[in-house]
Amino acid sequence: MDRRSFLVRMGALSAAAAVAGCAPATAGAGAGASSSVAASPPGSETAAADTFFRSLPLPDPSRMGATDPVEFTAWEAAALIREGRLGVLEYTDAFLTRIRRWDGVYQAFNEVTDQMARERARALDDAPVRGLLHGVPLAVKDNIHTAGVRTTANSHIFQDFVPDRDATLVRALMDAGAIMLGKSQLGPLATTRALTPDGEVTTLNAWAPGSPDVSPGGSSSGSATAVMARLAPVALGTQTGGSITMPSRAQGATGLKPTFGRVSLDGVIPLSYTRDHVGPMTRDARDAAMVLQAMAGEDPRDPRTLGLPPVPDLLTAATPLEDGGRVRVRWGTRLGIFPGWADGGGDGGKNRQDFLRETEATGVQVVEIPLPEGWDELTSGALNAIRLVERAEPFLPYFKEDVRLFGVTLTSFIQGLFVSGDEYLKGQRAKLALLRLVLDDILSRCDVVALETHVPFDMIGLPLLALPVGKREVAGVEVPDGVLLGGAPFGEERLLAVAAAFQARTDWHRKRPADPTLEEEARLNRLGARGRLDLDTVAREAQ
Amino acid sequence: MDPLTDDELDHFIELRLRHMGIDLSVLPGEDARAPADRRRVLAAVRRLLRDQMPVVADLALDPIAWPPILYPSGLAGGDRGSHETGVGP
Repeated sequence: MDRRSFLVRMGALSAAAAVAGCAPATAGAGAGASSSVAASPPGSETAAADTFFRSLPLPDPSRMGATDPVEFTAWEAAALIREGRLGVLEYTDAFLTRIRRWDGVYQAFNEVTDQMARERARALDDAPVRGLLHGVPLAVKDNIHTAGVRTTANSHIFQDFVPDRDATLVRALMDAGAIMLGKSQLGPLATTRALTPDGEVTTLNAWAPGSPDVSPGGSSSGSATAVMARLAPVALGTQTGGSITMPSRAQGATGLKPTFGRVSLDGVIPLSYTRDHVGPMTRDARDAAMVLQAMAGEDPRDPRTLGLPPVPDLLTAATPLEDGGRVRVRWGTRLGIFPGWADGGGDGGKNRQDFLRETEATGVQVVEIPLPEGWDELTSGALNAIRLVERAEPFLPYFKEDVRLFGVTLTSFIQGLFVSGDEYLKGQRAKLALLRLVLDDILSRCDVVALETHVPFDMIGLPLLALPVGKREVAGVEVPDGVLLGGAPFGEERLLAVAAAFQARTDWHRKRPADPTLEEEARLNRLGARGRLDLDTVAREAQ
Repeated sequence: MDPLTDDELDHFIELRLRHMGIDLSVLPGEDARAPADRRRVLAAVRRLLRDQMPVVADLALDPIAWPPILYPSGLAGGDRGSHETGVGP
């Protein structure tokens, strides 16, 4: 079976969904991520963007202490573009210059679409300012379809696959004025830290380019590295098992995995039909809100997005209140912590205690919640393994063709062929029991909960947000430390509100890593200097 | 019943794959430098069958209270941020 047949099959599913769906289209089909600018964006989007930017204090680059536009957050740059104080091409070129200089070291990108990006930037410079992301460059994870641009998922299977249309979410972002800089690296088929299909390490942690052993987090490694190394202001990640929030925590990004169904999965190479999510990886909560606002919503091509609560005003959610010069979280919020969450010595415990203190200072009430009875059983590794069925089934033709196509990821894919039907059904039944447990015993006592691991909320599709709260040492290198917050179904706005209030009082989200040294660059250019992961390690770390 | 031995489980795994038309013999038998080899793939599948799936099978869940749900989050409404403090910027 060739790659096209796989996509034709996916396309047939999408078409069926479109027939079944009754919601209006949210994004044009058939158009590509070209350099052109759509003639008439939705008026409501323009009005919302105008209102949002009018509500913000106009950034002052000199006061921000930044002279290079790559240092700005996306919302700051977008505001300056709207005021005519920053050119879209100037802004885009600033990132392309850094990509040319440094991506040989970081290897955050699989492909850089520099010519396409510059053409689009010029077109946007000449066009009236319109969408929310007008002039904002973007790195797109390489398992998301982009018209005319290879989409490889870092795998042998898709190494030559060029989609003929954009994923719905990509089209929505382009309609909002974004510019694609290129396709960001990922673990093969979105399973682990970024590697070649046969296991050679590629992407490095932006904070430790001289130490390839320090993981960039996976599988959206390239997206996190691109954002933190100032190769892109914002990026897209996908998450089936921590792939947005883990690299965000590892590198100091603000990563948001929305509720399942909030963002269309049309045009996203599947890893799990029931657990795949697309979300923003950014430098602060406001940037995350901007990107999610632009791509969230119903899509007739993905029935999993239909009939859900409407997308709220995420931009307002990510804008804290001020009361007499004091930052206040937008909504009265209870933050739940499990016993011992903030205990422990070293940087980790201190960072969590600092996070709680600063968050409480914004008006958030911290409440301790006992771990519910049944929690360990319903969030076990065994029930988590149920997801493996969903990665095996769509790839069956490739197993039959040649199992070597899976490279170093073969194990977790082939394991999925050995979960029986009754076991898979049991896993799906356990999801409902876990959701009930979370709603009744956790989210009845708090609005947002601090979590150790992404697994429980990934299993049942609840939103997660990771944000930097301090620093820690890994293998002798100082890297960011992040916390993970979980929210109620469709509660992204509450997560953004808490994160934005914390970030208004602290500056961990504004810290940036130094560029690699020449010595590090020379060392990394040597053959095999980055090392490799073997089959068993990849299976253990598989998302 | 006695638990299956490694050889018996490997035989089951290989037969199941062969029945599905999947040829594991294209992999080297044992080669730590290869992206994948048969020894490690079989060992991983044995671990799943021995250590994880029995836990799932033994989980007791009321079949009436807990029907299978693929996308549970969609059932649960939404958090509308109803407790705004009302303090204006």
